[in-house]
Amino acid sequence: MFPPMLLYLRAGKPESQRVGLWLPLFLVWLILLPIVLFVLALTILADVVLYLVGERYHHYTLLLLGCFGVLAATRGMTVRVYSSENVVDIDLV
Amino acid sequence: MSEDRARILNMLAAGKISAEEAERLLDALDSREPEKPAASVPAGPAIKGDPTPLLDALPKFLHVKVDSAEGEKVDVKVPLALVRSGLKLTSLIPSQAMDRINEQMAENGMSIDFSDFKPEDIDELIDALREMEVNIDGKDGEKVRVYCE
Repeated sequence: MFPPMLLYLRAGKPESQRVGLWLPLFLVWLILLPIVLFVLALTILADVVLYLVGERYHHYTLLLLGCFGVLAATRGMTVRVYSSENVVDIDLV
Repeated sequence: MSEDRARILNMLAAGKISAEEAERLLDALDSREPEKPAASVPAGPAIKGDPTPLLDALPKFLHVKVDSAEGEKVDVKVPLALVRSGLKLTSLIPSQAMDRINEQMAENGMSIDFSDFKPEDIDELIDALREMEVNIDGKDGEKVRVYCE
């Protein structure tokens, strides 16, 4: 399951043409990938050390992957706000 | 009236599916019945095969729609996969942190113990949300509708 790749934002006035903007979130994930891999390596190391020491909780890697799963689950979310002055559409694709 | 037909008509009445989708589902149900001789060649159903998996599928989105009296509208669609992932995440939170979360929730009036949620209960919870529908009509004309589909 992948995180949302694009954020589509459309805003404007009801009576005029709305301006649409595609934000490439996949570029943000690519930039964050080295940091995430570094943190993942740290959590794996921490889990191994905690397991060897005999600590009861040694699931920081699963916790990190769970957070990634929550981020991936936001795909398909839409927010639409219509008022007399503004119209805003947000889609996570 | 068969149970499947009644379920489709109830979903249409509740606004969970459109008239076109209801027609397609009913056509697919009819295609399961033995064919009767007809004067003209009928058109095939839009959905071939047994539509039961479509009807029994877990809801995928939580919809929140707000219409204010001034004409403002808010429509939010949240994937239920987010609920599923969030509940799975609660089972991975360290016990000390979970105790503090439960304390804070209780102080704010929500006495829910997230450590009681089990991943195997998630599908049952989401399936139960299928029938959930909240309709609020305010005295000033505002409307709030919350449902899953």
